Amino acid sequence: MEFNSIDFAIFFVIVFLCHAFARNKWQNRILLIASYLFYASWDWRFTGLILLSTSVDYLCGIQIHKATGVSSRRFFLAVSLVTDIGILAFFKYFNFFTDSLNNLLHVFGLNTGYHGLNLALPLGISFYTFRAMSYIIDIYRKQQEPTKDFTAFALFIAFFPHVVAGPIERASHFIPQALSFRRISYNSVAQGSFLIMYGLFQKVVVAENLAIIANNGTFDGHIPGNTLTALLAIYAYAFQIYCDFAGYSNMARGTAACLGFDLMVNFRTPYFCSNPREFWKRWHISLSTWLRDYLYIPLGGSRNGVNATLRNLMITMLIGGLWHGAAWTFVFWGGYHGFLLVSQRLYDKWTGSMNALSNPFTKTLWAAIKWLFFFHLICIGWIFFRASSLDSAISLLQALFAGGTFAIDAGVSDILAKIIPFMPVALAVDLYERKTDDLLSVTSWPLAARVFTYLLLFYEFVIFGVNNAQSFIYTKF
Amino acid sequence: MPSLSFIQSSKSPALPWILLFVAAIEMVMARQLPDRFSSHEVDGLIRDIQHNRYNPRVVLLGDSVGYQIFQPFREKWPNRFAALASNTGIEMAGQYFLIKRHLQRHEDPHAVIFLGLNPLGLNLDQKLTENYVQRCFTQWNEIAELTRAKKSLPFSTRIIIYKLFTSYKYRLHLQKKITGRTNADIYTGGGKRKASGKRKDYGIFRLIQASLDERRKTPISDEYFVRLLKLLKSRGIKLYYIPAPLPSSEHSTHILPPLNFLRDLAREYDNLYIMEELQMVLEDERFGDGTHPDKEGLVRIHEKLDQFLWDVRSKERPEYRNEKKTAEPESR
Repeated sequence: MEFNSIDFAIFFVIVFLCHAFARNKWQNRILLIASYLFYASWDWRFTGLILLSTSVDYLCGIQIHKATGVSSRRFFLAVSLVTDIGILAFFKYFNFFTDSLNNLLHVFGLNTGYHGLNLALPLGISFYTFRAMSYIIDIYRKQQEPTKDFTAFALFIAFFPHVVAGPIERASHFIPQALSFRRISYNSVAQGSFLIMYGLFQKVVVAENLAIIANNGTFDGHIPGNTLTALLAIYAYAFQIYCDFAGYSNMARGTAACLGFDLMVNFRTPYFCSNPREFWKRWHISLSTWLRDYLYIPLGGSRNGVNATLRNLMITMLIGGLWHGAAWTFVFWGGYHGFLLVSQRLYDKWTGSMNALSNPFTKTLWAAIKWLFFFHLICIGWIFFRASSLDSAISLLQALFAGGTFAIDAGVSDILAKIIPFMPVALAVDLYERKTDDLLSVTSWPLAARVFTYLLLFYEFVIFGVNNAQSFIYTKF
Repeated sequence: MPSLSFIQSSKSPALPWILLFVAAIEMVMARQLPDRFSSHEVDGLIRDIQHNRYNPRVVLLGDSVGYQIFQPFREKWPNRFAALASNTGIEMAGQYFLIKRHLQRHEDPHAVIFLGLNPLGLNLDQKLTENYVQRCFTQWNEIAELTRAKKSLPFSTRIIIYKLFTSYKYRLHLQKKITGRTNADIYTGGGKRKASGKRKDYGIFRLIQASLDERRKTPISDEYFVRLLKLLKSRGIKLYYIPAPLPSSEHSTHILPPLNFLRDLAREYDNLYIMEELQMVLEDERFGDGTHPDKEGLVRIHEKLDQFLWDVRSKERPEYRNEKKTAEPESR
């Protein structure tokens, strides 16, 4: 049941009405039942897995809090982490590691003849595992008290707006909301509805139309003769993945807002950044802050000198890449971003003593050049992220840097005609968000401006929405 | 004069205004778009039934092969034969709605001739169902009937959306009008369906829907075939079923109608006639795509079929011998 399907619209209206008229504890019970039904609508077999993870973490959380000795605290922490990481590793990475090992052995002339297991990937496993782990680690660090309300905790793990593709909420933010009675206000429903509408526009109009352009074979080894077409496919993918995931996150926040929950912001106009550090503060914020708090800082962060900092950055980004999917393309993408972050550290160190530009024109020009340069660096990263194999990615890069034909032919004008009805709207909204840093301020615009904006988004969705849209990209992670 | 300062207000709720504007826009669209755009033959047929005042004595139904074979009758004798054959995508439910709409606005014909491949065994879950059924048959009584037959809330909701939002119904045409391009094929409505059948589906709602489908005693199209028969019988109209022509070598690979089922029906409903003797088997090369006859094939089909059609029209068939003729046939 995708967020952009009629099935979900019907499901959500029913849940919203039941929740709005529910009293006290029934609010959470209704949402928990709805969340498990939502999860089962994808694959009922894995509801047991999410329930297992929830139960183990719930009990371990209480035991860690109760335990007085360090060893028993560590024991329950280990039980929880082994369960969570074990499930994730088995279902998501088992075949990847065995295949990689097989390939390595093959290089040395050994053939095991082992073909891996036929495993289906449980939906949203990477997201709910990280959510559960943050809860346990926070309790272990004494930054969070465990909840005794199993329903509230189970809802934190399986809440249907974020179970499949995040945001990776923190218990300290979510559970207090789950424990309180939520009165549904007009304001929260209005804001939620706007986020849902805008998320739908991002996904069904922008991302899906751009997907048609990006899926022209460029990333699968069929590089078009006209290099400009290949370049446009890369740009299209850059905006497709952004609008796909940001659209999902907005819809998740919107549906949660209609149910009285405030979920964290996951994207803040990342493509307006001009350096990797800022990019990761604005792209998939819930993951990047998770990696920072539970991996980078425990590794030592930037506390132990330059070399250790650079090493920690690389390790964090490589694991961040692997989190996305069990494939070397994702590992490479993570490593590439690690390299960008390391380079920035070194660059900042090198230019730190230089005088800043004082002339406003030169300053603007330099900012524009930096932005353009960094945007293309991000696009190079997307080549590895999207490519069907490392070979396809490398041959695409070779074709791009080899030059080739740059012609405005029928294919290019076709692409431009396709994007004209919606890209200006998407860019205008992003610019506005960049300027105000608050997308929801749209909901307090004057009436006439709001009505015009909502109608525009609505009819963009109705007329330019793509039939039979694909699944959200991040639901596969 | 009332104050217009509320349009500056950031507190006034936008929802009532949006509903008002959307209703106004959709009303304008509903008046303008159907006359300008049509996706396929069903769109055109529905408009014809709505606007044309003719009272032919024979109605021709069928799938795309029937559409092709009946095309000369549609062009040359529109007042003698109402050629309502369209596409297999509308299934029997669509055929039933077409004839029902026709009977509501025109005098009863004395016969309906259905020509096509197997019209049975379908459950409104084909690639073309959305574009040919849900998008086209949006009268409230049709929505109610389809809801009862399909028993799927999302299925019915989509029809209601098509009914309420004309701009959505004609979105592909609007895309083409605005940008010169569409993101899907107007004829099929996109039809980029997820692959089904290869991997087992474990989604709980889809399993429930599949279980409901399995518990259905007869396929929806069979049910509608019987309803069509009943409707025609109640008005004294005969139904002739002619199996579509087939290529000789692929005779066995084509989906043939379950003739035993039809014969049983013919015993139960005395207005059903199965014209197996009129089915033609032609050489393979007479079928360009394996299903639709080419020009020469059509000539041979018409040589065999036309006399039958005119005979039905003028009640020169044995079935009419015992009937009191109500009107003299028009001259050919």
